[in-house]
Amino acid sequence: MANRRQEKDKFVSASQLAQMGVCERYAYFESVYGKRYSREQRDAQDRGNHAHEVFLQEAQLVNSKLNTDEDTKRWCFIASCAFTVDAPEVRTLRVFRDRFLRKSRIGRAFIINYYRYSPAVVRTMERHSIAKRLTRACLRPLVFIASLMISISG
Amino acid sequence: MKIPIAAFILVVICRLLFGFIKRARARQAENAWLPSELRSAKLVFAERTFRTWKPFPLVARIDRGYLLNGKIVLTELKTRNITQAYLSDIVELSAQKLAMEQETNFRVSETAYVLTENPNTLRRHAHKVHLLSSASLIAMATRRQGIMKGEIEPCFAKSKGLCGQCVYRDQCRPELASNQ
Repeated sequence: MANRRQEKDKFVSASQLAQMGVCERYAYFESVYGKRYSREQRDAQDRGNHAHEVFLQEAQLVNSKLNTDEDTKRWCFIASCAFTVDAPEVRTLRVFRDRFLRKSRIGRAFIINYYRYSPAVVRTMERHSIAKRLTRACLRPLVFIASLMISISG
Repeated sequence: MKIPIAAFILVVICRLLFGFIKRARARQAENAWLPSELRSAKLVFAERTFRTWKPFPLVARIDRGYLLNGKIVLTELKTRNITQAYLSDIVELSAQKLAMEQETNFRVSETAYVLTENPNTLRRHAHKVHLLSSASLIAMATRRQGIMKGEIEPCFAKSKGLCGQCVYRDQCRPELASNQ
């Protein structure tokens, strides 16, 4: 964990570099005293985050096969093991997770528990090929329902 | 039994139609601000992070990337009242270009767009900008590193108006803080 943080600290972000174009002293004080925000800055940040969310949703409406950060998060452990990481079934389940599960409290609780317990399930699946086939057969109807719900929701 | 099935089919058709209309309206809304140059381009990236270790450790998240004539044209959204692109926007987009080129080997266009959105009216304006060269960006990153290490004295903001609302004013310019 500490190593990951150290590695992250080595990277300079595009916005940190951009700050150099506004005020070098701000960039320096930010690194010395930590990030500070005024109420106006927080409000502006919230507005910016919301605008970016809308901007992303609009982009997804224009092109549903976009390459986003969500595509690089390969967290559907069981489905990825039963099919392949880039299988259309996995992609469908990923979209279903983001569009439906993430929006409700029950859905989010399910996602957290799924991430907690699925690596153990995957280890069993990797040992027994019959378990993998069985999981695949069980997932197919779920994938069908998920794709139907995605197409209905537009 | 037939009535629920018919009702279900009707609901499905209505939702599909609704989805189609929603997508068509999104495209129409997009065309209102999209520069004519990008209308024929394909939107390929949105909210995607790129990382590179060379020429220096850099991480950048692009708002949108359009594929046009074999090159990626970057677009950065900014919510502000003034419809103007600043130097900081150009630096940010140039860093995104460098990170993307290094990670993916894609060719990224020398020009990009800063999209300003008015937070009150939600009107958008696209500003075409020319990006900085990799050498300028490396020089900037080296200077930043020197400042962080305390080897280089950092410059004040070019606009004094920025100092008035700065959260580090007490540490940076105590004379301004005491005037408040």
